[in-house]
Parts: sequence; C-alpha cells; structure tokens
Amino acid sequence: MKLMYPKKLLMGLMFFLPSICFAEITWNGFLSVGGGIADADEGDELAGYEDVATFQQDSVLGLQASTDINDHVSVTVQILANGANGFDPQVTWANVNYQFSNDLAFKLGRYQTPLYLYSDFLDVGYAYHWISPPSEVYLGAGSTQDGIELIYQKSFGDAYFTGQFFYGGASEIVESSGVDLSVDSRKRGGFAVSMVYDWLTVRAGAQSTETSIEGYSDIALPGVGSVGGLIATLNSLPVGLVGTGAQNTAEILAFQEDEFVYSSLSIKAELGQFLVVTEFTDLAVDDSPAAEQQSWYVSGGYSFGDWMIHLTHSETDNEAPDLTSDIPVIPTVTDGLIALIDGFTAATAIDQKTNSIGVRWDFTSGVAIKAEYSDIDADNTPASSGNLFRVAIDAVF
Amino acid sequence: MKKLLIFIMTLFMPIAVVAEVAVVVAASSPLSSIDLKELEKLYLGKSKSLGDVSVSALNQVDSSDVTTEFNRVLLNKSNSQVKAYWSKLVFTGKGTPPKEFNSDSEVIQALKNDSSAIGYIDAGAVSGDVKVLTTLK
Repeated sequence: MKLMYPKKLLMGLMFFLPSICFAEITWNGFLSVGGGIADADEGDELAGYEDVATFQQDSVLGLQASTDINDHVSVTVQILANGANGFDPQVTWANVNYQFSNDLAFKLGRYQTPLYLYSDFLDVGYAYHWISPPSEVYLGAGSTQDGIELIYQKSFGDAYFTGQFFYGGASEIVESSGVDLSVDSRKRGGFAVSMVYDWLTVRAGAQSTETSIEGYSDIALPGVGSVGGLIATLNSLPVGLVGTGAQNTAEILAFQEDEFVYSSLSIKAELGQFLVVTEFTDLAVDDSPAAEQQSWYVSGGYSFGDWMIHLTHSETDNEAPDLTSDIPVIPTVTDGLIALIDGFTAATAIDQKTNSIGVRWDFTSGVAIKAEYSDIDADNTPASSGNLFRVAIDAVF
Repeated sequence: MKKLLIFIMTLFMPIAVVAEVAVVVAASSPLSSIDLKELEKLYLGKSKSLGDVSVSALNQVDSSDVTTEFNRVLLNKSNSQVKAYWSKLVFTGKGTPPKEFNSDSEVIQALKNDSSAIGYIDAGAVSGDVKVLTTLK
C-alpha cells in the first residue's frame, strides 16, 4: 500500500522531531502469528490459504510510538508489517493529535479509516474474538488514509458517545487478475458515530469517495486483448449504427472518478458471559464497472473462564453493473461485445456465505490463542468454496 | 506424605483467596466519597474526573489478585477483556490506559506524591498515608 503525500507528511513530522527527541515515548505493539490449511472445492487456494499449511496470510506485526509534546499536542506513529504483503513494512499511522478539551480532539496526518465497526483496529487481532472479522464484510475494509479527523467522545449520563468525522484520500496498489492496479480514493470523507449504553453498543457510519483505478485498462480480456482494447473497440463503433450507448459504456470502463458510497449499521450486546454482534454494510456505486455490495454477519460468543467459543454466519450479495442495456444488439457487430462485457462485469460480483465456529483461549496476560473452522460457500467464480481451518496467536504488548 | 496430601487438597481449593479491594486516595485528597458508576467510567477512560474533581486513575499489574478482583467487581470484566478493551482504544488513538504499578506499596507511594490520583489496593495493605473511599468485594 502506497499513500499520497508521504513527503509532505514526513516534513510535517520533522517539524516536531526536535521535541520528540527529548520527550518520553510510549511504545505499544501487537503481534499475530497465524496459519491455516484449506480444502478448496475447485482450484488450490481459498481465502489466501492453500491445501498445505501456510503461515503468512493472518500474520502481522505492529509497533506504535506515541509521545506528548505538551498538554494538548501528541504525535503517534505506527508501523505495520503484514504477512499477506510479504512483511513489507508500511506506515499505517503518522499523525499529530491536538486535544482541544477532554471531549474533542483533532488529528492531522495518516490514520486508519473508521469505515466499519472493526475497521480502524482490523490488524489488532487481540482486540476481538475471531482470527479475522468476516471477510464478506471486511475484505478490503481496513485502509489507511491521509487527511484530517475530528474525534468527539463524551458521557451523557450512563451513555457514552463517540463521533469520528474524517476527510482525506488514499492511494494503494492492489493486485487483481494478474495486474497491479493503483486504486486512488480522493475526497474520501465520512463519519462514524457510536453510542455505548451499559451492555449495548450501537454504531452507524457512512463514507463517500471518488475512486479511480490506474492500470484497469491493462486487465486482459479475450478477443480484444484488454479492457483498454475493449474501450477502443467500443469507441470505434459508428454512432450512426449503434447510438451513443457504446461510447457511454467505454467511458464507464475507464474507471475514473467513480463515486462509491459506503454505509453501515452495527449492534453489539455484551451481556455477562454472552456476546452478540451483528453488522450490515452497503456499497453503492453509480456508472462504474464495480459491483454493488450488500453484506452482513451475525456472531455470538459464550465465555467461560479464560475460554470463549463463538459461532458466526456471514454473507455478501453483489450486484453486477449493467453496462450493455444501452447498446443495441446487432448480430456480428455488437452481440459478441455485449456477451464479453456482461461476462466481465458478472465476474466482479461475488455471492458468498460463510459459517464459522471458533475458540479463543486467553492463556496468559496479553496473549490469546485462537482456532477457527470455516465453511465457505461461493456461488460463482473467481471466488471459491471449501473448508478452511486456521490457528493464530494474538498478543499485545 | 502429609505434604503431598496438602498439595492435592490445594488443587481443589478456590484458586486464590479472594482479595478485598480498597479504593484509596491520598490522605490529603479532596475526595471523601465515591460513586461506583463514576469510578467505572474513570477506569474505562470515559471520564477524567470524579464529580468536579479532575482525577488520574492508577492501575495495578494484571498478575496481581487485587487487579483481577477490581476488574471483576467494578468493571464486570476479566483481565483479558479489560486488556482487549484498551488495546482497541490505544491502537486507534482514542485513549491511554491508567498507569500500571507493580504492588500495593507502589500505589500508596504514587498516591502520596499525587493528591489528584486514585488507586486500589488490597484492603489488608491500607496504611495511614491513604484514605479508603470504599471497599469492593
């Protein structure tokens, strides 16, 4: 993952360096070592795991240093090395925090976007009961951005309110269909508000972003070579024969400045030894080759002593965009192209369900051992169905 | 043989003699009473004061029985649940947990140095340097 404005950010931090050198630094860290083995129905990979035990996908090390410059200003830097990324270290947090009052703080710099309930601490396995939160909702839902964030936290009687309001942008490299895609999210703004009342937590969030993908035109397609070739072919069709529909489709396939709107609602109940958490998420897109997504999960857990056992059901239901309804079907001119485009967009939509059972054992202070068995059922390729068994050790220090 | 018998008997006894926890402040502290709901908020980082008095909370290390009992009675959480709660806040930049001390005597010493602090110790360790606001059991 590479982010925007690293130089500006570093220069901003260097401004504070002289004071950091003499200030007391608080170090915190988290470590997860995970391994798993998959039994895929087709192919040989499932959720990043293979039919032999591998130990990278869920392994992560994070180190966080923070220091108070004075009563109001603090600086936090977090470095993360993720096994799924080949342990290539990334700066996930680097921000200056200004505490206006006990209730109100303002962050400038790099921070994790609070997209969904577990998003801003997605890498800190110790903080939740699963090895990783349900992939139907959380695949790609943990992302860092450069910008500003306002955090308001206040007690109202027995209720505790947290509000996060953010604006910024991010750029990351994602490998898909054998091509390195540079995903640029600009004007990424939104909010997350939560209310904790005794055993009940309710949270709602929304985010909108303008997303462009560089490299999208390099994705290979049969017959036309690539998405870029498809765009050229569509633009070369005579308007007199096919109307403007083909050109509109070509413009959408360029994947430039597409508006993505994410929204979510979650409810968590922590009643004595019982935990129930559920979350609904929605991704809406307009005039984009990306699929719309509706996802949710429900998870229940029961704790006894240092042990916890939990069950989870999660689903994602995607709707492929319709990019061909405005192109008239003309045999040998457009019919082959329409079939090609429909096949391409259908592959971006994945319908998947997972049932999991897992156990967490807090065997000593700050260290938990987890095991999880998942039955994954995907309706269409490129996702695959099968069974997955994973184990992990999560620690905080 | 007698030693072995005692050893076997201890296996079936409750894991530790349950400590009585005294919530304490410095003898010079302006605080004289406490609302347990407010104390809970303070120890979960949801407030930084008790009534109108600005207060910093002191913790003891996880391995101490008095911590386990304090977390269980006041916060209704196990030590690891408390740790998971704080790790979520620490790694999202939303809070800093109370400072940890290694023993009752270290807490008493810290309270002597800071009259705006509050802590908890084993009820048996209470000395003249501190004032007991309440006892949790």
